[in-house]
Amino acid sequence: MMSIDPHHPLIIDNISALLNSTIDLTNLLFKLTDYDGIQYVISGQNTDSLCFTVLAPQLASVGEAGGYESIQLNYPGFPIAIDEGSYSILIDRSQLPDPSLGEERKLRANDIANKFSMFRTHFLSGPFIKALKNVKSGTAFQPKEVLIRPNEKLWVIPGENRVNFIFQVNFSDHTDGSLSRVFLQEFVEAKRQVPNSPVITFSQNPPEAMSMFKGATLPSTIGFLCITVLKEQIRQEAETGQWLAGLKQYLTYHLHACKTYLHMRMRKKTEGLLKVLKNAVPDKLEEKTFRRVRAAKTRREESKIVYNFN
Amino acid sequence: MSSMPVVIFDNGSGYSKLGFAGNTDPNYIIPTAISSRESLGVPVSRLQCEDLDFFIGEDAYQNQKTHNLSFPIKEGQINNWDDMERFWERTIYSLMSVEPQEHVFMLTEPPMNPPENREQMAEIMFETFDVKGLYIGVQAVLALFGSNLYKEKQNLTGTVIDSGDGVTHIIPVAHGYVISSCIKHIPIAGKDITKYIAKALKDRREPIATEDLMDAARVIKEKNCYVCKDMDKELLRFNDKAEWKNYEGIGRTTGAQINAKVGPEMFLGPEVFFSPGKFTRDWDKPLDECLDSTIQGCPIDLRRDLYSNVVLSGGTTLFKNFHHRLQRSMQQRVNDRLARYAASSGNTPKPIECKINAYKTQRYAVWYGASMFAASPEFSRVVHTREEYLEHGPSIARRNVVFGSGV
Ligand SMILES: Nc1ncnc2c1ncn2[C@@H]1O[C@H](COP(=O)(O)OP(=O)(O)O)[C@@H](O)[C@H]1O
Repeated sequence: MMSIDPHHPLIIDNISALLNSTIDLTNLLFKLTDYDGIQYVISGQNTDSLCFTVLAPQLASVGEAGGYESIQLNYPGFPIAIDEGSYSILIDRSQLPDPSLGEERKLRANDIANKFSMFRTHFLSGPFIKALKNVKSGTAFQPKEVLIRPNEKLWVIPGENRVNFIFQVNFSDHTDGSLSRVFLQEFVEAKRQVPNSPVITFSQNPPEAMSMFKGATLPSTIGFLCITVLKEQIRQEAETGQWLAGLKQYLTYHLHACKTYLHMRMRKKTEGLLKVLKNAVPDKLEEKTFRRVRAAKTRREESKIVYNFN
Repeated sequence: MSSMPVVIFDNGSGYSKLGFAGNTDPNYIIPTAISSRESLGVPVSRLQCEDLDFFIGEDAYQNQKTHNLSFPIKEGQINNWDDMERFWERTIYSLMSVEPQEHVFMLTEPPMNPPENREQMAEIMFETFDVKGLYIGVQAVLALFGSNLYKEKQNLTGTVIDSGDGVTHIIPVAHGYVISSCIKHIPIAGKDITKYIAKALKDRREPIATEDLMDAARVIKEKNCYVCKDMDKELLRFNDKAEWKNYEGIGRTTGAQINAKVGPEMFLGPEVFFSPGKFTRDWDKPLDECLDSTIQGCPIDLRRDLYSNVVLSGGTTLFKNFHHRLQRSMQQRVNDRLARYAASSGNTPKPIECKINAYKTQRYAVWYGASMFAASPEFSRVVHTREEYLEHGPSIARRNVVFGSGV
């Protein structure tokens, strides 16, 4: 598994099970969590409709920067309700094909479940897609500061025929922070090997481009990752946006996988050292043979003496 | 962010139960199996990220042709930390889909788990995944905690029979403490029954490929097996071929269609608990006798409570009528002893009531108890936080705060 699947497996399971069943949904309520501090509450409204509510601290910030648009685009036909700090989409089970059309209904239900399992990705990729689209069509737009995760910000800064995405990188753990620095420097290296890839820079200080934003230097910030996408590099905005939105998760996942690997190597090494130590313990056996040889020698000498006496 | 739910992993030797606290059912029950590229513990290189090329759960079985299948937990205890760490990594990222830094985790441990193991667990959870907090609960106590929610009288004194895939334990618990000197291990569990059924099928030459045999036997065990009242009578019944059942399925390894007949092994398999002498040479004490002697070995003032609150936990206790039979033979045993006592001493003692409790969450009783406990207000008092870990190191996991004082 190289990258994290953008689908949330539990949402697929739960929603498709609910849509395929005929149980009364009225009193249903369960909660799920996702990456980036997002929580979902799936609750029943009446016998046949479900309310898919999203709670997240960064909801409004991302939403206004393009998240809401992306959702409207990806979930056509679903009524949406925006509240302060929450965002709800209604799913109406009665609109599915009739239960008599078993297969068709199932397909449609699974389709919906699949779609909702991508909610986080659709939502968070909104700001990226919007900026990429604007650059492609040549529309000018204002630089923006977006709270993309509970404690991390993103700056979208337009340039001439290009857009800069500047990610603030934060890790609560020191080891993670140091490792991530190495990792991100690696990104810069990798650029040399991939032709026509966007320019990536990583620095500990805020880059020049975002000089108009002050107060970005939180004490725990590891650094700033700046990805510059040129106009001619933009082909599939949606896909690029999804990758950019999943960047932090990708990073964390690989950090943890890397630590796991290091631990495995460390355990292997310890085992090897223990083996060496075990071998270094003097053997009892040696002493025994020594004594036996000596005993034999002594015996021979004794017998010689006896022989000499005779 | 304290509203993020606690993530509970109950990793057993056969199956892992995973899910969020507060729910009544675990989100996943998957085999604790991992298949990876490593052979004989030689780590692969990391150039092409080969270390990420591994599968867990059902996928591990499906990919065993190209990867090496292994089971990181043996008899309840973790014996391969490399595999376990990767198993957790995959469960966190691709099954639960959570950010470990944001959640409190709860793991479970078998009785008599050495403190070193507990430290190692804490080390992995805090160092690798930077979890926000960790609690390691004792399986038996959690099972007991879960059973309390079905009862009016709340107590954490009782006997837990935990029978999983690899081993069966009888664990007396007093006021939330496991009485470790009285724990009894029985070397008969789910796997032995599966093996027995597989052997019966093979001896009868049912048309099942050797690779699929164990798996088919397991499915038959889980679907068809039951506990009978009287073994000899039941055997006679099966002389009539009409009583035999059909099994149809698809082999997990070969993918071939299987059509087989299932006969007396349906009740003979589970019977191994009640008359083991007839089946194996390693063990000859029936389960009820073990249970009785375990309780008799406990402090005298606890015995009545231990008899009256026996909780079943684990997949292998799910056989139909298992608890009825156990209850009957236990009560018989206790009544006999009281009668003997009355005859020899001349005064009649107060009768002792035996109660074997079976609940619908028995299959994952430990997980259920953990889920209920994690959602209770007491949990925040006992959990080890990351700050504590950074301050004191893995030794914080040595000492486990006992919960249940408020019950
Ligand atoms: N319905 C059932 N009837 C009988 N045995 C079952 C049933 N379901 C699961 N099992 C068996 O229970 C065992 C797993 O139990 P579990 O408590 O998960 O073990 P562990 O805690 O050791 O992983 C397996 O051997 C499985 O075949």
